[in-house]
Amino acid sequence: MGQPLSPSLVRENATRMMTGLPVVIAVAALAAQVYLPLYVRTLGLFDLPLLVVAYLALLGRRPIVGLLIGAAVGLAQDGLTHGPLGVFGMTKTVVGYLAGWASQVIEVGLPGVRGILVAIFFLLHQFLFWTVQTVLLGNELAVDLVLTFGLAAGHAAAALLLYRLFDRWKKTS
Amino acid sequence: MVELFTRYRNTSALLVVLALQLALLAYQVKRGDDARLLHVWTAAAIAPLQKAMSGASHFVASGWNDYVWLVDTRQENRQLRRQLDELKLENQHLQRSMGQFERGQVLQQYQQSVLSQTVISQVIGVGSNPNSKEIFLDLGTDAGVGAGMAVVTPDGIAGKVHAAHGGTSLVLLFNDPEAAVGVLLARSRARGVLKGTGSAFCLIDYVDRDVEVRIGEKVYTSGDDRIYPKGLLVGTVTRLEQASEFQRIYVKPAAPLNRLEEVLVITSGVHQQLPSSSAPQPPGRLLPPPPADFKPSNPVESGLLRNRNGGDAWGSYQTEDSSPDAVPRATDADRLKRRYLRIGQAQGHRFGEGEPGSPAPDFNLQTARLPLLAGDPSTTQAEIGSSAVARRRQAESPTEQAGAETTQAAAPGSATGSGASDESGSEERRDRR
Repeated sequence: MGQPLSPSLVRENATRMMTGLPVVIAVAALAAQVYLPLYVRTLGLFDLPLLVVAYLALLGRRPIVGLLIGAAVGLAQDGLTHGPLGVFGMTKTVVGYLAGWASQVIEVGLPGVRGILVAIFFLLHQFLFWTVQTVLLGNELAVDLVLTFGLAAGHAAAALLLYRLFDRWKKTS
Repeated sequence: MVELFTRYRNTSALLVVLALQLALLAYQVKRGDDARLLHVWTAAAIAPLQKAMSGASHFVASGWNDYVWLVDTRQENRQLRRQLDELKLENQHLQRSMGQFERGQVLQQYQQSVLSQTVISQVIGVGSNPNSKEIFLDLGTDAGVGAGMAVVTPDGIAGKVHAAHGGTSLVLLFNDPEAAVGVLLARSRARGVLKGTGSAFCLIDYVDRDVEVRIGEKVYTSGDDRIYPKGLLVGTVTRLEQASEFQRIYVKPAAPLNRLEEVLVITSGVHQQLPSSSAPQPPGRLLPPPPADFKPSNPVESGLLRNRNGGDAWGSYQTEDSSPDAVPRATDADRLKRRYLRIGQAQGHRFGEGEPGSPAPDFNLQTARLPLLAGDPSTTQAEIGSSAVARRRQAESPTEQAGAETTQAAAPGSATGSGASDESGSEERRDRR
């Protein structure tokens, strides 16, 4: 990953979204996650809150902000499932933390970098999710690696499209 | 510690958050339930957005489908119209089939109810002469149909076979101007000849003015024409015209002659009685016969059942109907035969053994004075009781003798609830004369 960017460069590249917009985006992503699969079942394979967490954490450029965003969105996503709270919370906390940390050490404004990071985050998210489910909760989960890597590529592609849309709503500080 | 935490602030924060969530997870797993409150909060926060998204998508989708995306609508509409036309035709066909089936069932029931032998035939056409009333049937001589056979429907007669060919036959409907039917009026029992007029009504001509005919009276075949068996419904009297000596009776045919589809051809006719409902009804109302196991429940009722002559009418009922040694009910002919036997026995005459020209017994002998037939099981207790009463009354008053005999004959008749008592009484009066 290389050396972290200098604080001056980070501040220079720091951008912010309109007040309240991250919350709206996060809630909209959660709502879309439970609503869109009603009509397009394939969309159920995509983790829209993960994309939002990664984007907001990359945008925040700080690991603490990232982990808080990840924890909040993950716990909310847990709230929409029948499972215990903390499964998505912990996984997205780690993802948010890493995204915030990555935004400090590499230039994340480039689309290619974003795509690769999102693919890595997705794989990490799936691994953590599988770990929590099997190790902590004792649930058996079948792993389809081909599907998982395919979905990682799909999330990367979706992130490129989605982040371009989100970038229009941010303002340079 | 604080310095360590400050130095590794981000990592420490991560570990703290993860530890908290891990603790939450462990707590839920151990307790076996989840943090319900957070579920409720999350659902409550997401639900309005979900509803808004659902409403918006429904609005957009309906607007798009109903007002924008109408590319296939015209074609679909055309296809649906074509399907509708096909379904209409199919529906008509099914309704026609169902009607045909129902008519066939009615025809078969009627066929089983009539005494005559019949065959069911379909009407396949009408005569080419517009002035005549003719139809073609799908059965001919191959099916046993011949000229002169009557054609009827469950509603009433239709006509007669005018000519029969191999597979078809021509039927002249009875409302044809050249057709005639011997008829009998149900109520007045007047006979006549019904003639077709070519219209919806037929005419019975030359009926005596003295015959009382009523509007609505049923008209049946009389069998006089040797074509239509007696007792088939022809129509209903709808109009009367009084001429100088005769009256003209207009009759509306009972059968729908202008829309016949299935008919019965009578191949072997059997006369039958007119329906009982059309027979003249006696005035007033007759009670139904008493039940066989009826017994008066109190002395008052028993007293009411005791007749004026002192005879026990209940005894008559009981003996004839329900006593253990009851004999079969006797008819008027049986009673008349027994009476003649008693007369013959009293005069030493034996029926069927006298020489030709030998003197006949005196049938004017009063039966009330005669001894009862010994050992005759058909001599009922009613006759025994009534004859004893008659003898006693004769001894008291000879003028009441005839009344006693009438009572004797009427008692069994009243027990059966028929009107035969009057006939029996009149028979005895004729015997006395």
